[in-house]
Amino acid sequence: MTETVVTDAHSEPSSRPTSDLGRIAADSASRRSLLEPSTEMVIRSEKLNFFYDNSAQALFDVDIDVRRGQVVAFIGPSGCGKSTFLRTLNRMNDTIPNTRAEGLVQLDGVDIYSPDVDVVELRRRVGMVFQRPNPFPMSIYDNIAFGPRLHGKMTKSETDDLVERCLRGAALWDETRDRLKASALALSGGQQQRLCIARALANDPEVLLLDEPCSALDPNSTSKIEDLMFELRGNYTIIIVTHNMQQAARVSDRTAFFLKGKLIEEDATTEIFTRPSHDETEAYITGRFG
Amino acid sequence: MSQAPRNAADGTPSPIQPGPAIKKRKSANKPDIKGSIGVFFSGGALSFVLVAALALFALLFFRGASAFWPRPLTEWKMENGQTFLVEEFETKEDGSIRGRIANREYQDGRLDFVAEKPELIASRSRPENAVRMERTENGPFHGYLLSEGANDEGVEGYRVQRPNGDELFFPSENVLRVQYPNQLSFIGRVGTWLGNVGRFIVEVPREANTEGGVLSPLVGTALMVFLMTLMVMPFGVLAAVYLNEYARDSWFTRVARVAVNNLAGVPSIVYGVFGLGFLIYGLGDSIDSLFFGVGDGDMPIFGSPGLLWASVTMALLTVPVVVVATEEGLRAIPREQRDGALALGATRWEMLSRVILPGAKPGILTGAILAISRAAGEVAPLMLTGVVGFEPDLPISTEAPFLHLQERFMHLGFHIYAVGFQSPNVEAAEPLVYATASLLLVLVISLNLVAIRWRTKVRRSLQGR
Repeated sequence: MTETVVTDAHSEPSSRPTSDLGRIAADSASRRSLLEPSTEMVIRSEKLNFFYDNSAQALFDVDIDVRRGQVVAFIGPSGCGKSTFLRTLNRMNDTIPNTRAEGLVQLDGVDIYSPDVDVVELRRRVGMVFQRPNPFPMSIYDNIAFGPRLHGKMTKSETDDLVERCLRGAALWDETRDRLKASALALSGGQQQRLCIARALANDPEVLLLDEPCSALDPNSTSKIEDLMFELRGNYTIIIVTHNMQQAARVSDRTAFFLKGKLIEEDATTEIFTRPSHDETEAYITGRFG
Repeated sequence: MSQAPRNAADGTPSPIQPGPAIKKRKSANKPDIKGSIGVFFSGGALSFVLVAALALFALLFFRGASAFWPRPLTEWKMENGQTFLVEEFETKEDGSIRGRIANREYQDGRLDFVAEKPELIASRSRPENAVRMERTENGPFHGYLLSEGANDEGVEGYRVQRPNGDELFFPSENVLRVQYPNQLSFIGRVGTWLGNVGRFIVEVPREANTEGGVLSPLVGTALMVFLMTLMVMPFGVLAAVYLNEYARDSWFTRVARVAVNNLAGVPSIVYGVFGLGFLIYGLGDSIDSLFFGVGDGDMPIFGSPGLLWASVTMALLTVPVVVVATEEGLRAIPREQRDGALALGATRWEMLSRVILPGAKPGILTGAILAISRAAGEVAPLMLTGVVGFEPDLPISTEAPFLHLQERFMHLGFHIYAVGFQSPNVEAAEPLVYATASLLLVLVISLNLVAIRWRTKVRRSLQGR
């Protein structure tokens, strides 16, 4: 497993000791300890199985509980099912033909795969940011207002307020306040990704799913996104898929390790990176495979 | 992160060992003949194409423009005693001079163009007061103006003299313009030329297309193209949206796509036959009998060729290019943008209408450009579905219903053919063929330029530049 984003100058990916990641995790955990850990469950999955093309099984009996306001990182080698699992949480996999999910996924205690669930409302409450920044080819302003305009009429001043609030929330306001009407595609990659986060925030979601949000960004932009996640923590439940274990150690409260479609273990991030309870986890985070 | 090996003792880099040599091949010093030949032929082919295109434009524009140049009138006193006022065009290879003598009704059934050997002409002169009058009938008149005013019967008009001395009277209503071509300075000639070009565009054709302008074909072409665009764009775009967005990739969509592509290759006259057989005799007749109570033997209204059916036929002909271009535009939208819209809670239709279609605008505009250029230049299907050679009345008027969809109309492309080959006065019509062809060319090129500029602008704004 080679890392695409390396922010730590001392790192040597081939022989990264567990204690290094553990130290990073402990450091960031101590900085965040002022946040009262919530016990309220937002997302729960039970025995979730997922199939592509009606036969190839991508997920095997995934059980996980995500508590409100926490940042959860999904790690694991490529093709381990972490992105697939992420996309079951807002039913984005519905857009791929011939796929099937079995088992239970609950948002606030409601089964999101039950037939009377409105997918539009589900996706409003569970926002998503993708690997590659995907602003729409329209102005910055219209990008932010896109989601809210889908879900109801708003006056001009309400929209203005919302756009400013979301851009401030995504730490993008100072850079864009003078060119809200300019095309979003004129922004840099990192700004575009923060715009996508702001766009997701505009829907006022409970949960934010980030699918490798920094893998296409340079280290500077990556650290801005990580700072942003730190700011958003507590107000939003954030689930982030990442290939960068240092990022997982830095930003997350809890970490889940996936391997071959199975959830191997899920625990507090400091625990995972200092005392993993499974050999596979230890092998992966110490860089012995993957 | 490869580093030069370091000297363990003091950390200074050790000297670099020479590696394998990077030498030029032996052949590299020889001249690259094959490459030069390749450059020569490919560059030559490009220049040939450019020269051919430039020659085409130059020929059309020069011949077309010279048709409007006010030439002086020369008085020919012939050896046999006849006198002509001739607008001289050219000296032929055998030495004879070709020119227009006008005054068609007095030429004993001959046309008003002559070509005479110089030895048969006793003298040539340029009388200052020679006049050229454009008339509503019988083409121009060359002669001398004696006086203006009412004649003995009180009719306003012009008393004129033919070159042979006969006096004539033309009522004002038959005279369009009076010019003294021999008194014009160069500036005056340019002014007259500009006026003639302007009149060519704003006047309707007269005298079986041999005189007057091309307003009717111009308006007919524009209206047909406009109506066609109104019809073809929604249908083509919707068909492409269905094929690309809704239909799954299956046996059916593949066949449909191949069929649409092949439709673009069907000879255009086949569309004309379809338009005549199905649209006019089928649909049109049914409309007539259902809504207008037209029975057998009555004058048909929509059951005969006209503007509407010509536009519909053209829309059918151009729908494949719109579908193909739109599909390409839709395919160019990255998957991430679709996912992004859906993940924000957009329905499929909201994703399409707010993100995908606006993003596919450049592709859609490309389709429109191709459709418009094709329709503006196509002639064959129109001959069967509504275009006629001479119909000076415009299909658009101030009388209700303003737009006369059932009427036959003129078209620039067909006008070129009709003027050139179906005109009773071929020599008078010939320059108009070039002029009309130039105009058609200018029209199509400027339509394209406008559309391309628009597309560039849309593309820029989409990309945020």
